[in-house]
Amino acid sequence: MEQAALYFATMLTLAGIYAALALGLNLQWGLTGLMNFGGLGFVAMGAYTAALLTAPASPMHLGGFGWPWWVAWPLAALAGAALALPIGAIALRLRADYLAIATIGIAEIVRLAVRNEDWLTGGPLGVPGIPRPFEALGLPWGQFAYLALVAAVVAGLFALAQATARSPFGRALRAVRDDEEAAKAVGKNPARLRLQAFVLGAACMGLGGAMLAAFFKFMGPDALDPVTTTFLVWVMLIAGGSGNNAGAVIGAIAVWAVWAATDWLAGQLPGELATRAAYVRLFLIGLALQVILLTRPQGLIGERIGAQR
Amino acid sequence: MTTLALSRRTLLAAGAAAAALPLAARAQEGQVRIGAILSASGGLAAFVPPIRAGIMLALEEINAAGGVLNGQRLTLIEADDQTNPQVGVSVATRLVQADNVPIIIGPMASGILIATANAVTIPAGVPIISPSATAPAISALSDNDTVFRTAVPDGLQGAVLGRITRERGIERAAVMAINNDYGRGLAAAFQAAFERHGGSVTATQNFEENRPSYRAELQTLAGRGNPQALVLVAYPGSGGNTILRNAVENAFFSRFVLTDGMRDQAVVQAVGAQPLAGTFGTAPGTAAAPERRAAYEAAFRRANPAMDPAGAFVAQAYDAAYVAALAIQKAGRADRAAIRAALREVANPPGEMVGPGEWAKARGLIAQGAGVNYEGASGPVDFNEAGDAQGRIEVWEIRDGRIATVENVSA
Repeated sequence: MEQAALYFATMLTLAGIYAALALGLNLQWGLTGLMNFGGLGFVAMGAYTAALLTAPASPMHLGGFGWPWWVAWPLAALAGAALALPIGAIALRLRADYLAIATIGIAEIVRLAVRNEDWLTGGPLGVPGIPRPFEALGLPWGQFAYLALVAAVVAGLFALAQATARSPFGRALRAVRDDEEAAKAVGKNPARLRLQAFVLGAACMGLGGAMLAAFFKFMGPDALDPVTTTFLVWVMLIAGGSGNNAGAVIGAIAVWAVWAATDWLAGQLPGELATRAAYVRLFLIGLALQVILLTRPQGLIGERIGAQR
Repeated sequence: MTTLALSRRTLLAAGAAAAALPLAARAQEGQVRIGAILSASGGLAAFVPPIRAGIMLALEEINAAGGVLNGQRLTLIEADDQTNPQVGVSVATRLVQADNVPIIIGPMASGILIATANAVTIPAGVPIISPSATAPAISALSDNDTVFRTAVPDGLQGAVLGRITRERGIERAAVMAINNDYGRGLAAAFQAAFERHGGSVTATQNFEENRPSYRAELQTLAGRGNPQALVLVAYPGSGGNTILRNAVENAFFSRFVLTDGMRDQAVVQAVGAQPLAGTFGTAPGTAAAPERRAAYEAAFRRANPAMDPAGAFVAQAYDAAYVAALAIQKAGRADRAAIRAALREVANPPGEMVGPGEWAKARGLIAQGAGVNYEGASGPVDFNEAGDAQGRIEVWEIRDGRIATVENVSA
């Protein structure tokens, strides 16, 4: 029973971390219409910032300062924002698909820099030994406490995102998304608004990266995979309902549950089939996304503008 | 609407089948479950089928010879890490916490092993044995003695490669290594040994996987310091074959030194026997006594006629499953801490030697309370303090278009 609870807690923790990423993306895409395909880059910034600040000293990479997580995590969010600021200032002039291509490129630059700048990041060997908050409590309570921490962070981000969506600022972002000329006509500055949304979303992703690094207790370039770090978050947001913060969180939990459940089911298959099931699983997740897009393009919960007054 | 009804019915049927499967699996009482984390999809997927066959061969032999404990069957609970550390951590969590396995074989890649060990198995106290993770960093994990491997660390292979390269008359070599923990670690170990024996590395390039062409990198390497040979640390499918082809087509290099990742007959087929004549390399060796190796190879060929028992890390996977089973038997129960404590007892001397296919004998010895010392298909499988197997390194050559073992040496 305890084991089952632990498994459940681990899965929820990962889902929570993805929810933080999805909330960041929702601010950028759902609210403002910025097609950011470079989530990986901001997650990497946050993850490595937190990793280098909290890990014990090591000659294999820069620092290892052994700072507590509650100092490092806000700095990780700041690092995500700091990367987004210059990029946004330049790239946000591009629209829609051009921005998507630019952000993919930037994410690849970050990924390759992380892999090759050994003095800074430890190169392909990564940063091991990152402490996880509350792990001193041991199993199972350390795991539950970390889940509670992640849940609290996500709840905080959710509250902030809801407040943003309902504020005049949030309405201005929607206006920029839906009709930029009209927004300009009433005196809004679209370039400035887009940059603000981009930087805030990137801060969310940086914080998600910090939580991810602490959860894995390890961060390396192989852990930064565009499929699981960037595109799975898009799947979650689209499945949950972009433009709706609750949709982002529910999408993250639902998609992660499907992901975990299919892994468990594949493991129950006998022998050779289990190996093949790995591919069927990836195929089924793609298929599920297609079905959602065709039958419910607005996601599980669509955007509700009127109801938010 | 018809399509919807049909899809619903299909879904129901699929759901029922899926629900019935675990029941069927659970219905067999009296089984001991071993976890396995393999990279069944993703970059390492090509290595998995023979490695999996090696593990299954060990389990089938053991089950056929009476099973473990009081005649319980060993079953394998598999997980696919998609060659990705995140996924590795999540599936390891499933194995440890939902399936509650007492011991895990895998993961295959070093980075994934470090991530899953740190995040999941070390805190939970689950022993893991990797058949193929070779990064030196794994020896240094503070793992409460739970992380083992039957693969020989890269440091040893690099040392042997450096020595034999110099012995074969090469003084200046260029190094091209895949840009990951495997490539970097092995290249560094090679360079240290090569220079110690009087050679010099003219230039080093770390290459990214899956590029359409590597001409630029090769041109840089060939142009610096007049190298006599190219030392290539790579995997065939993700760049190795392309690099060899580019090097041969443009006449950048005419001699090649390879490592275990490229010890594959398919490489000769892809590049051609003529340009690869005189190519040599190293791989984790078969320090095994010849009769033990022969017993394993014969059994493997019987079970899997289409696969190569000498494939990369296949014998290591077989040995990992075998020592896991022996440790369960020795521990007397499928308990994590007891198995971990028993692993060295059954793998290391002292004790009577048992080898591949000798499960009944080992069982008898353990029942009498006598010590056993497993001597495997890949080597003596003696775990040192860091949990690493002390193995030998194979030196191989391409002769008349076939890969041939020259010798097995210790460092």
